[in-house]
Amino acid sequence: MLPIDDDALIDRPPLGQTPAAACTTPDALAALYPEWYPRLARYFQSCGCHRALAQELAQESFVQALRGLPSFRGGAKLSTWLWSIGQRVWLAELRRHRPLDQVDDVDDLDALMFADSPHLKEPEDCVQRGFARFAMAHPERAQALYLFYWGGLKHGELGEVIGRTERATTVYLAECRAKLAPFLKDCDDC
Amino acid sequence: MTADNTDPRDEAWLRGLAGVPADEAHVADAAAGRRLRASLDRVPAVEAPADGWADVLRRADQGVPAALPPREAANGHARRWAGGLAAALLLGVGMGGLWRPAEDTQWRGAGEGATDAHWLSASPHADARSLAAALRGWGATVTESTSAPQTVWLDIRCPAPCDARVGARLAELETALAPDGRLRLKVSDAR
Repeated sequence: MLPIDDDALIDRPPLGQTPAAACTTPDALAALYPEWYPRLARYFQSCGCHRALAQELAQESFVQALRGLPSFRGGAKLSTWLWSIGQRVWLAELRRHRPLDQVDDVDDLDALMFADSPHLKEPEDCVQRGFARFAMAHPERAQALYLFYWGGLKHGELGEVIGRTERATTVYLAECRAKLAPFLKDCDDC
Repeated sequence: MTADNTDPRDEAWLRGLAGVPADEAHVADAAAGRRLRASLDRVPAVEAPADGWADVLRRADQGVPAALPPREAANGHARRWAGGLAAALLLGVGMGGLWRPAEDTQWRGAGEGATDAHWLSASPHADARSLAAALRGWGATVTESTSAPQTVWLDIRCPAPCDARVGARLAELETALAPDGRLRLKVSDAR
């Protein structure tokens, strides 16, 4: 079952909506598009989305960011704000496919989600499949691990993105590893 | 990348995940982290479409709800009660006749025509987008267009040999491709 705080994440305003005054134009968002569309799409694929859906979610992230741009106050980097919108888009899509009261069993996820991705079919992609299923069950934790993998962030920097203190982030990452382990247990023989 | 108060095995694993050298005392943990990193590295890259930003501008513009004309706003108070009563009656009749406890309870519609189906949805944009993404994932070509704020048209093309999952998904929505592999599907607001 999805953690309760995912609901809060969907509902809460994205990072960056703080009272600090700033003015960001659509051109600034457009400048991020060539670099950040691929990043978001690749993240969504890592979470188990097939390519077409990953591209659609990346595009939708930019659409929502553009619509929400007047509310962006510059409290975070624009790219950080965009990332948090992307995560909300992913969680909303996940929730649409998997209502909270329908799935407790991890084995149900493949049928409900996007296991038809060609890049997840090969036997050597056991770890990748495991991570994708983990991302569907624990999307916030998967986001934290992915940002750590992709961004090379220090604990404190990652904490700013996921809304935790440095110490809490350290503990959280260790918990994420423990939560991920069952999803990779079948990969030990791969 | 260092942090206090963490298990050194976890820290070695995280360093492996981040692709930086780890303490040799925890080789296995670092290797496990590197293995996850290697698997994530295998996720194929995606290029930004050339006209992608133009599409963002178009969609962001279309998604803004139309402003209520001033005259409508002025008369709205009196009509709200009558409208609400009518909506409640219609909803009651509709729910009684159309309720199905399946996945697509939000999908409603005439759906009789194979070439120009009409579905009513509580969230037409999101449902249309999700359906289009699924169909594209199975090889169909889907073009989305919007004629009104809460109406989305999907022009679906899937000539033979078409992935059977396309037909199966459309069958769940009580419609189907025409013999030439085409379907024009209108998704509009059920509320």
